[in-house]
Amino acid sequence: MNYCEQVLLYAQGELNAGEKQAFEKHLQTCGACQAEVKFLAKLDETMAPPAAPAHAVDKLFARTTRKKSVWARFKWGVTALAAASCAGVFLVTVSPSRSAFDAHDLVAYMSTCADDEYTSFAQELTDMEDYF
Amino acid sequence: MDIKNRQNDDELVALFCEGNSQAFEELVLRYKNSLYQYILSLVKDEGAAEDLFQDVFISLFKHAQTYKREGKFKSWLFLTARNKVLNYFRDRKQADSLDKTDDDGNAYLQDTLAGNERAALDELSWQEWQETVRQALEKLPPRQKEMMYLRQYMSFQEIADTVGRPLGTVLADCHRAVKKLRQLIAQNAQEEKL
Repeated sequence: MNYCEQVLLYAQGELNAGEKQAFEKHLQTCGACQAEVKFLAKLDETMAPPAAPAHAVDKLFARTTRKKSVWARFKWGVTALAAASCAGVFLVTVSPSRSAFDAHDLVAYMSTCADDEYTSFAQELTDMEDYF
Repeated sequence: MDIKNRQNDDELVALFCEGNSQAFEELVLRYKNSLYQYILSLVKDEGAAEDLFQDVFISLFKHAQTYKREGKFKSWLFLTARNKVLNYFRDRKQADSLDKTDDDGNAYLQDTLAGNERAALDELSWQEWQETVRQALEKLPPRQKEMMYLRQYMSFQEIADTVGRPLGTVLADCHRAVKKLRQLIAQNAQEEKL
């Protein structure tokens, strides 16, 4: 291989110390190789990779290392359901249609609702477990 | 030990195989840009490139155990990407697109430009140059274009390992690709001047 044929290997940094030294000596006197080295350096600068889209990387991590288990996702659903149930009970019990506040009635009503909600939730949980 | 300071990909793969998910994320961060650019350069479709990009790393996530730790992780990763891209084309009946090439001779780079072409190249502004390079890359035969991109991320031996060709063939392909690219850029620069 003559020196001019080594220009790509030189630009790529793949010549060993001895070859590199010999090529650089040749480079001092060869205009074509000088132009080629300059062209390749400019090309490398132009072709530097842009950043991969952040959302693609986030999605990848969400599907691999940061993937939530089915139960972890389900827990949020359960929490939301429980919160919604409590809010619903509260709104119903303090609604303006009730003419007077009666602590005994309220406690009895909440117990009934909570039992109903619990029964319904327990059934949903059983269904989900069967499904998965 | 701080994972980011580990230079060796094989060490990271070993750590990941032992259950360290941070090691996997470091490998992703290390290669995400080059791998995404490589895939995008081949499929030319951002949506498809993003899907394939994720598929490659998901393959690593699922099959890291199959990688033999011989210091060739980068080649292994890009080979996985290449196979995914080939399958993508195969699904679209374009499986041979990466292997098409032109009938260029073997003349070396420095012999290929006339004096006026060299002058036109030197007169391009940086923006013009970037756009011209982008257009010229698109005009390269797929195999040569692939070489030009792979050259950015790996050594010629690694390219040879990735594309499954002898080192000498890879070097000749790269010479042809650079020669063709330089001609295209120079032609474009001359047309701009007219």
